[in-house]
Amino acid sequence: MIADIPENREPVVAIRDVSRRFRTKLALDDVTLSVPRGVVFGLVGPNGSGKTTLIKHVLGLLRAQTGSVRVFGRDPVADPVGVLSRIGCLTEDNDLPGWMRVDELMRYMRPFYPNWSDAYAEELRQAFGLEPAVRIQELSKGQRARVGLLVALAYRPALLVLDEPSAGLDPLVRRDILGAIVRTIADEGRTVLFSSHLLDEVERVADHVAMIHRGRIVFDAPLDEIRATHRRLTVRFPEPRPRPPALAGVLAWEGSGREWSAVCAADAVGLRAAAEATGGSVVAEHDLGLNEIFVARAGAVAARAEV
Amino acid sequence: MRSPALALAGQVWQRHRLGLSICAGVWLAVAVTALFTPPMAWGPGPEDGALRPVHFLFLFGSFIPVIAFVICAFIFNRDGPLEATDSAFPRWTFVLPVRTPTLVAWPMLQAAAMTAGVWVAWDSTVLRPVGLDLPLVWPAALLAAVTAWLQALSWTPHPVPWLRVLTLLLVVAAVGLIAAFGMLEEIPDVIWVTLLAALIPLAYGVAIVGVAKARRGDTPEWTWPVRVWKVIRDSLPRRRNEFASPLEAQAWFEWRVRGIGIPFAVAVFLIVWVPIFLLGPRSIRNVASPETPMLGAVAGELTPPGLFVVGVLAFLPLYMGLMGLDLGGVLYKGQWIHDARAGCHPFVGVRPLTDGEIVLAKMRVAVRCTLLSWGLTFAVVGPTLGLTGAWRELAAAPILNSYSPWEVFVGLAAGAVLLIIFTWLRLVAYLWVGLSGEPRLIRSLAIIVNVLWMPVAYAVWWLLQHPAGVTTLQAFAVTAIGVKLVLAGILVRRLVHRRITAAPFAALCLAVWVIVAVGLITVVSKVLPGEQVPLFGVVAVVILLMPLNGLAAAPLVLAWNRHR
Repeated sequence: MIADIPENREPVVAIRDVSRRFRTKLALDDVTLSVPRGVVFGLVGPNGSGKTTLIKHVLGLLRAQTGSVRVFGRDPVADPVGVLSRIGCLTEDNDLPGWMRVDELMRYMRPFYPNWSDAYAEELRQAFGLEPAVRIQELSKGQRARVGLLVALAYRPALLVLDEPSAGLDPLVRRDILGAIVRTIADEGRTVLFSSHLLDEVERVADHVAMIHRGRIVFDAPLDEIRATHRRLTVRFPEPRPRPPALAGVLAWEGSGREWSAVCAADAVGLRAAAEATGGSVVAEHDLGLNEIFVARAGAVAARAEV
Repeated sequence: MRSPALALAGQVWQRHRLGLSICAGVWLAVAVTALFTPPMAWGPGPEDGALRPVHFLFLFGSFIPVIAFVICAFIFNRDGPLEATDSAFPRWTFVLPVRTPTLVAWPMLQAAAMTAGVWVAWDSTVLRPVGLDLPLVWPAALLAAVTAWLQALSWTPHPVPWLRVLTLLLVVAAVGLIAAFGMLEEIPDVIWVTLLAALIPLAYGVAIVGVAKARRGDTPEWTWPVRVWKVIRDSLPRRRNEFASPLEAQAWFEWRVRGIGIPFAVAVFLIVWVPIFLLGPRSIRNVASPETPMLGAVAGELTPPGLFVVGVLAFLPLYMGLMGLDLGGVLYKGQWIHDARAGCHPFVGVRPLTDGEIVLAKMRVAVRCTLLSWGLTFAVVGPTLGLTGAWRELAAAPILNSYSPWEVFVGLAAGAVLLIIFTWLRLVAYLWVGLSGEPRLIRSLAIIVNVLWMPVAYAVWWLLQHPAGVTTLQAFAVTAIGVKLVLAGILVRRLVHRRITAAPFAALCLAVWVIVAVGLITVVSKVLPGEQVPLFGVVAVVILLMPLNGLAAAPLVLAWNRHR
């Protein structure tokens, strides 16, 4: 039996009260987030919402102006070696040196990571169909992403960080990336933190989802819980209405005239009763996809900001 | 801005308004200085109107950088790398509903007017008031014509990478020859200006054809030079061994990205230097005239070949300081710096290395660059002296007469070792600038290192002409040394406090610094004649030039940049 050492109970990433300002722009606003061990943690949010800024804090590329960031219980700024040697990362730009050959890159990366496995690296290279003597600049964007994935996975990192890894890539490469995520969590105790705005991907692989919007965490919960709490109710009113009624728990309304549809994040039974109290009747109730939840949440935040 | 013509004309101003405003500020400052400073303040000079140091200062210290900036702005060098095959003309303008001749005409007209105007402004308000009577009209026409051709070539797609750089260099070289010809031959201004003006429509035609080709994606391509280059590149030795440590791997990366160009550039310098050396003794005798007593005294002691050798030996440490700006870079990882954003490139930032280790890897590369550069220099200088027989004149230098052969040998060996260490120190002294990841700081420092030394050197020279000035200079040197040493103390303390380095290691580094400084002072004071260069001057120059704070600041600056 494996002893339950304290480290195993700690979250892999613990972000507490972190704010970050770039000149006049508040990029992160008092963010608190915790990534549990052994999960696929999806970070979603519109462009410019603060996903990359948050990930840069995890990698120690940005210093927390307020609050604290701990990865494996350590400060990534104070102890870059201790933290970064256990993280594999692939970013949207995937900025690998174009002049290096694939085998040179593998040889260069090897000494940095004590867990680097030549056999596994070679297995991945063959699986991705990468020629060792080819220079990275001569590869297609998809092949370059595969090279980035290879060097991020070859040492079986305890935490795999992917920042918009699929952006602009074809479905075959995206499949490889999702496969890598699945492979990573298949190894017990390993964790994946990935940001994306391709929500169908997040929905397919994530156990836990956090949404960030305008630098604030809008929601942060296991995916099953998010699905269970978000519903779409279609309400029919006896007379046409110029605008829908204001009901607590409704994130967004769509529709016109007599039939309106509400995306809600509350107890559906209570909401049904509230809708009926305004004269309407609920004629349909549906589950929601992450995409719809995301759009409704982002819209609700924007509406609150305008108010 | 309703007119397309105005929109096109305004793009250079909108993009470079800060730089152009600074240029205008520089012009205003030097014009006011030239206007209100009495002529005798510029120091002694020959009566026949020959160039004085102040003329070089105003010509090279202000006009050349300004005109270079203006030309670069108008050839759109920031819209496309000049070494690439594609046109440097802004691509976004290709989709504008404007005919190509109109698209090309506005920036060409503006550039011609602007460059000619800059010359007229400098000539009439700066150079003439300081006594440098240069022609007004034909240099203005020459600048306008040259800029038009530089624009035409920059905007025309080229079939092979780097070919454009070659053609641009040819244009610049041709300008030099034309200017020299114009100054030597007294051609009437009318003919001269007509000939130069005729070059502008010709350049306009070339530019229209070039931009039209770029607009329709018609970039010519010669594949054979690229294939030949690839064969050569692929036949070069490749790294096949494993790296023993992360530090070794990082040092290899730094060498490939930034280090390898340093000895390469030294080799190019040596190729240029050898012909100059062969032609040099006569010009040295001319320069070392009674009007330059210090240079004359040094040339007398060392002999002309000796002075040339000293010049070559001085080049490396000076050049290395400039290269250190790039060696410290963390903005990019192999491609050109054009689009690099401020900060530390994530490829470097996420390596599991401490900030100190990243700096150490760069310092290791600096050792390799220094040794290779000096190896190349000695390998070229030695045979050149031997084959030309110049070594006999060198060996007969008066300065060597008072020493035994054994003392000369030991002195030269010690001097060589100190010079190598000093070169390495110069190379690593500016690492902190690149490590800051601030492109503006890097560019500004490069300009300061390249340009500002001239007014400083001029001010020192001017002060040395007056007894009161010497006292002022001494006081200034003492203050500067004091500030430098206090700052070093603060930085070292912070390094130890942040545990970036251990206290004993810091003490060892300081001890080595003191030993090298004392060694350099000893050797330099032996080489230079004591009656011309006092010991205090040698001590001050060595201490002020010996890098100290730059070294101590490097890991601290990287820590700031890497974890902003």
